[in-house]
Amino acid sequence: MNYRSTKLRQALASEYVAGTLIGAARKRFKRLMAEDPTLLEEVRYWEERFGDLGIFEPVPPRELVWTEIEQRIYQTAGNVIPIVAKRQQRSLMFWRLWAGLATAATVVLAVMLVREQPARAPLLPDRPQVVERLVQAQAYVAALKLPNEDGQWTVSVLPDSRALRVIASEPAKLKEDEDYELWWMADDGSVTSLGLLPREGAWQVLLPLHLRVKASGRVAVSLEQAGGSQAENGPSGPVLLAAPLVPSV
Amino acid sequence: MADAEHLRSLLHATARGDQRAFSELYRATSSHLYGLLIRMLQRRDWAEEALQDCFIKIWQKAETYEADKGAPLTWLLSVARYRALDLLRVKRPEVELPDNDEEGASLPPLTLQDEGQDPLARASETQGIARMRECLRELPTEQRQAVLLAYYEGYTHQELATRMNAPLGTVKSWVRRGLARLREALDR
Repeated sequence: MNYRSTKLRQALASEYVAGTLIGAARKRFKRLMAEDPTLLEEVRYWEERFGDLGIFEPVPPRELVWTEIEQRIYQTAGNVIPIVAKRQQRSLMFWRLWAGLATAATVVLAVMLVREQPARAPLLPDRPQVVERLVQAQAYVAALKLPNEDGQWTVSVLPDSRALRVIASEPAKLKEDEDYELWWMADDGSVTSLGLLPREGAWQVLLPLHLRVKASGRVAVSLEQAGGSQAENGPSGPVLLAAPLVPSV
Repeated sequence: MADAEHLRSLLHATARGDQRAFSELYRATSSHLYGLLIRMLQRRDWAEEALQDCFIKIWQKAETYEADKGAPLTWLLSVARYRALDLLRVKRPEVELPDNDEEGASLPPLTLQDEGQDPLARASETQGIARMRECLRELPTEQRQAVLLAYYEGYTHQELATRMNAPLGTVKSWVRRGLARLREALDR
């Protein structure tokens, strides 16, 4: 089919939005749309026009829907969907190389007296047991004091919910075209990207299911180009520090 | 309805993993998404499942929303609509008749609830329709109905043919021509 014809492109986009483009044709169109911004524009054109009709009247969903969304996102239960951009593995050799550097780096271990606060508590009035579990959960923490930074990043992990939270105490002094990338280090030497450290404020991801949270866990930070490591299997920039995760009391 | 700027900032905060923003986003928009889903899917269990899927996706993909994609609510509703279409394609086999379904008795009507009524008549009960409605009104009746049934009820060509009691080829051309004329009218 000749996708270059403007009329045809318009027609396909409109039928994609209307929903009458189905099966293989729909899949093909989605592929094309990903590569072709003008097709995407056509699709948006229709989404906005049909959206303007405002034909769907709001209907409040039952409360339990939100509860289940929260469970699917934040709880363990084996069906957690990891929210991690990249999973990267790297050999033991690599880590031997920077082990010395990491030791020399300023590593502040924070044994935090604060327990993980149940941020969701007000949202779950009908599920006290979930809140209770969060309050009681053992957290692991690491405080990352990076070179050339005034503030520090506090990493906390709740094994129970597999939530990893990072809080920056001060805005990062990074250049615009740089990012800090956070890595999970497994006992076997493999590393997994957990995403980029927030330049300021707080940020949270879910740990991928294959990562085991325990007392010997470690995280590391590398300095990368904006957007994170360019390498396939690990940091492409210098590793600035590594820190153990310490159980909070 | 929450204003666009506020929703935009909630989406951006959600993209950074801010749970509170995500929860507020849900409070502000879930009834809009659910209204669409219950209308298209016509079953509470499907609509609730779809709503969950949508917000999981929004939590995961909030960073793919860009301000230039237009109004945030439009984007959110698109997420819901495409999810509903996917579910309909999987769960409602083409040309399915209620009698053939095991749950026949509990199955809601697959078609317009007000049979014979122009879907547009129901559309007119709500607001904010002006321009698009004008253009839709200019379409021949069959084209208009085919487009609206496809869009708002998630009908495939085959289902439209059954519903509108017309040959498949005819129905396909109603949709195609209807959309093309709509496009011309909107661009005028």
